[in-house]
Amino acid sequence: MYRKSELLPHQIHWIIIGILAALAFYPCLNPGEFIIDVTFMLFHYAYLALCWNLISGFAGQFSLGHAAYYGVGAYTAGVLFMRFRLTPWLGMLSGPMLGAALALATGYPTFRLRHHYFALASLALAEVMRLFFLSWDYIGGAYGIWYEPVLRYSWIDFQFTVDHRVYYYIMFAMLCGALLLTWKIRHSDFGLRLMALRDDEEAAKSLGINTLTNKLVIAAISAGLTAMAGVVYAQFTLFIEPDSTMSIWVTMDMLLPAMLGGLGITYGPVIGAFILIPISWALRTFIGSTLQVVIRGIILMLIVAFMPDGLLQIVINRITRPALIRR
Amino acid sequence: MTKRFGGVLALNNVSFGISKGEIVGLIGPNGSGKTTLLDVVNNFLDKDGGKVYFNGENVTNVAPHKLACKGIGRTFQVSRVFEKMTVLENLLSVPVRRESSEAKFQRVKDLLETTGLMPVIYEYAKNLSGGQKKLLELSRALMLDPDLMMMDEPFAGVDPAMLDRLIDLVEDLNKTGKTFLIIEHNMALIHRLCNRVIVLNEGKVIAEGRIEDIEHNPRVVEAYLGSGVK
Repeated sequence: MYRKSELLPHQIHWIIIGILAALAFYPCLNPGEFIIDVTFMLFHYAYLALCWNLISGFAGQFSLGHAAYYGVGAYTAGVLFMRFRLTPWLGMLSGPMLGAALALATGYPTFRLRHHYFALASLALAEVMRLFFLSWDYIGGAYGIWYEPVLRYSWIDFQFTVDHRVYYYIMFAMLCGALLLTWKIRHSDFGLRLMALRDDEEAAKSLGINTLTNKLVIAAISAGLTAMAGVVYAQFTLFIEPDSTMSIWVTMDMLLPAMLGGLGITYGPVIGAFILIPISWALRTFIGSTLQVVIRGIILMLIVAFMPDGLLQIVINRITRPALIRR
Repeated sequence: MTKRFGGVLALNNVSFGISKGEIVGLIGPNGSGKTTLLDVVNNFLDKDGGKVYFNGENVTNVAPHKLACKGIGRTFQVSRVFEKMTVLENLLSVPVRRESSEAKFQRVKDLLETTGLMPVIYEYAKNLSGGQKKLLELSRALMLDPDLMMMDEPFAGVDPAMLDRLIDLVEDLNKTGKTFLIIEHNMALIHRLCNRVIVLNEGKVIAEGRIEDIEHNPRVVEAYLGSGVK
């Protein structure tokens, strides 16, 4: 039987499984709240990069507006909890649904645009949403939504301020779930159709692939999952405002790891996040946030110039594929 | 069919029919509207007038992906392979209904062996040579198992040995009832393959019929073949 996979070396699967297994047991060692929080955020960014990779890496629709879905998720949970006293778990359900609905509503007209025009349209969507939320007093405007902390361990309120390990495990489970879903999509006929339309939309159409429907389906999945991360982020920080949930920087935190690790490769965004996010934090700590943004910009330019397909693609090109072709 | 690009009349009331099981050659000088004709039939380009019927059904405004499902396959003048996918994935990406994955793999294997692409099954399509890309594109379109195959210069850049195999492949498929519309500049190939030829010039059909008759048509000689062709 032929290998229909991404042609990654088998060892990488075991390395990833090993790392995930270690991370599953790691909190049992009581590493302290700071380390737990830092690792939570690492999972959070890796997860977001995975969500972004679904639409941009596999389907080739370079979204610069994914922050809009993230913000919709965060605000759905925040508004439901603070205004209606409804459990944030309802937000976990309705946030992704609203995110997916927004992706479908905006995707239907914008998916007819090609390449950079789609990217610009998606960026405009996120900016319009951010400005709209900034001026909408009902949801706090620029002041945002401040949660009233529940100073105990509360599953119904989705607040675990006394033990952040619960947040850690929720985000960890979401990351594993997103990885598994990405893997399944990549190895399905649906995944092949997405990659086909990514590489050449007209050729894909000529082969019977309904490109618009496939794009809408993956956009809804990607946006829904992104919104889910927004809900968890809101519960973790207990504070949300438009700039920290819907700005272009939020989208940049999704796309940079995916591009570094490997666009359209299952593990790419996770590996990229595990490399890039700690570097970003270190830079922010030691040289300040302004210069950190400059350096991240330089990193983006270097990726685009020297390894546009990402780190894992280099591994595939240099190790796995040549061996298969020789065979 | 009629198609305008601004002030240019690319197709001017072009009308023709193809019977099931024919291999029809579409020839004409550069810029005569051959590729535009395929794009219009395929609905990649909007028409300014005219209708298209396939198997008796009006498919004038049917979306390209639905046309493919109805049995119209095509290849492009400049190969349009899925560059970041392997040769294998290129073929597997074609949605084939009512076929088990084993049967699909078997067809992939047969096509790759026929086209000589088996040694590069795990190569990314972007790394293939121009000729190999043509072969891959053809194999991929054949995965659709179309009733009508529209091919835009499918043999350009293919080496002579492979060319023989491809022609055999087209002839074998034709024997099973498949219909072909082939744009080609190589008149020897047209001679060898086609039952009938349609000649386009400046967006109009200037001649249509058997190749032996066409090549002596003064209008065709003047517009396309030139007097040196025998």
